[in-house]
Amino acid sequence: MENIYTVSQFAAVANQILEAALPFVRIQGEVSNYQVRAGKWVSFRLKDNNSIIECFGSVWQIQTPLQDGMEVVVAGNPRLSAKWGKFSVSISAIKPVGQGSILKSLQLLKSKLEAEGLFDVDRKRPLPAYPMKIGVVSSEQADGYKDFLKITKQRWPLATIVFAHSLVQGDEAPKQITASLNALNQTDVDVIAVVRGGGSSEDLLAFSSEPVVRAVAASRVPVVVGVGHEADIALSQLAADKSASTPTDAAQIITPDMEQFDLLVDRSLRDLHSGLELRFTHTKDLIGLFEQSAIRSSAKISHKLETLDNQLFAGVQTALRVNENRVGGLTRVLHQLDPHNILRQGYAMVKRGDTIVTKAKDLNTDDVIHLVLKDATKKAKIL
Amino acid sequence: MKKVDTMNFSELAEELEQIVAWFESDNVDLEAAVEKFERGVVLSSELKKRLSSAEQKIKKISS
Repeated sequence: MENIYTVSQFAAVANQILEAALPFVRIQGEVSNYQVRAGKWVSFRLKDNNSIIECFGSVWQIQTPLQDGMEVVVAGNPRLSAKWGKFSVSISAIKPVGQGSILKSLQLLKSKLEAEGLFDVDRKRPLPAYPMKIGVVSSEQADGYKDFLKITKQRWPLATIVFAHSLVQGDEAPKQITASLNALNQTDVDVIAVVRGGGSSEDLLAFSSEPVVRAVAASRVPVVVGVGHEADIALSQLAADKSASTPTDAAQIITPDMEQFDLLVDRSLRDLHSGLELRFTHTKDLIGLFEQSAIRSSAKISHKLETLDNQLFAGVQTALRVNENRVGGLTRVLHQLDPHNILRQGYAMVKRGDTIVTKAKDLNTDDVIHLVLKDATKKAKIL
Repeated sequence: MKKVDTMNFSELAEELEQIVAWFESDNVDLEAAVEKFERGVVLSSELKKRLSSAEQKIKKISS
């Protein structure tokens, strides 16, 4: 008897068959009727000229921004939704195809991240002046990495390079670059360089992928992104603290030039010498000024002293003269008063014993007296 | 005053820059100038020493 399925059974069997026959498919087509529901669920129709396939997925699985008209390859598994009775592809990844679609996708991501402020100029931090530990995210085999090492070695060999290997192209690259950036953020590097040499626009896509751009923007350590050649700008370069056009350019931006620094130290030393000399000169000038003023003031003082001295001398002289005159006068007076002068004129002085007798009544008969004359003293007796 | 062998490159360079700036100012304190000069010489010779012994080292980490 022919097997009759219930609806649910049929849906289950159909899904089993689909899963066995087409566990994973890649389908290329044009996106139409693109929608995001509740900020979580993405749906669109993938079409070509004749057919349409419904596609579903979550925003976490679909990192690539989409827009109607874009040519994409959808990777996923086909299934029949039991609830809605619709056949669809459950998306695991989407990749834009062709220059137009890639560019469109980049533009969409750029405007989204720009609106979030990830590229704002005021988010950019200054790079350390003398980085002693430089983190590098690149591929060990990449020419860009070798260029970076060569230039940093030339300019600033003092720095230690802390290297975190990562694929720099292909589907795995965004995840590895992000992991390397995060790992370097756990170390004590002063700055991080994310570098790879030039390649096709498609080769450089990893550096514009949303996870990498976000990791660069979120880095605790300042980041310089130097990718490709000058014509290509990856979105992670816009999010970096400093964008470099090439790995060589990144090395030049990050490192000071040791030779220049060496010259700078020499110049500093010369500046110090001349600065010190200037202070010495200044001090010498100061001492000179002091000496001159000291000499001037000492001359003034000695002049003053001399004047005083002269004045004093003159005073003394005058005083002496005055006194001399006085003494002379007194001497003359004294001289005039000398009793011997009177004796010399013929007078005599009468003395009894030691007493001078001036009155006759003091003398009696037979008294012995002394007559003091000009030249000698003679004894005499009163009659 | 920090010992130069305990200072990192940036600290050395920054202190030297400050000293040079001091000398460029109108400061005329001779005693301070001599002191700063001596410090500047120590700093610059330490910087020179580090520059001359520089050799690139590469360390690898895995993520």
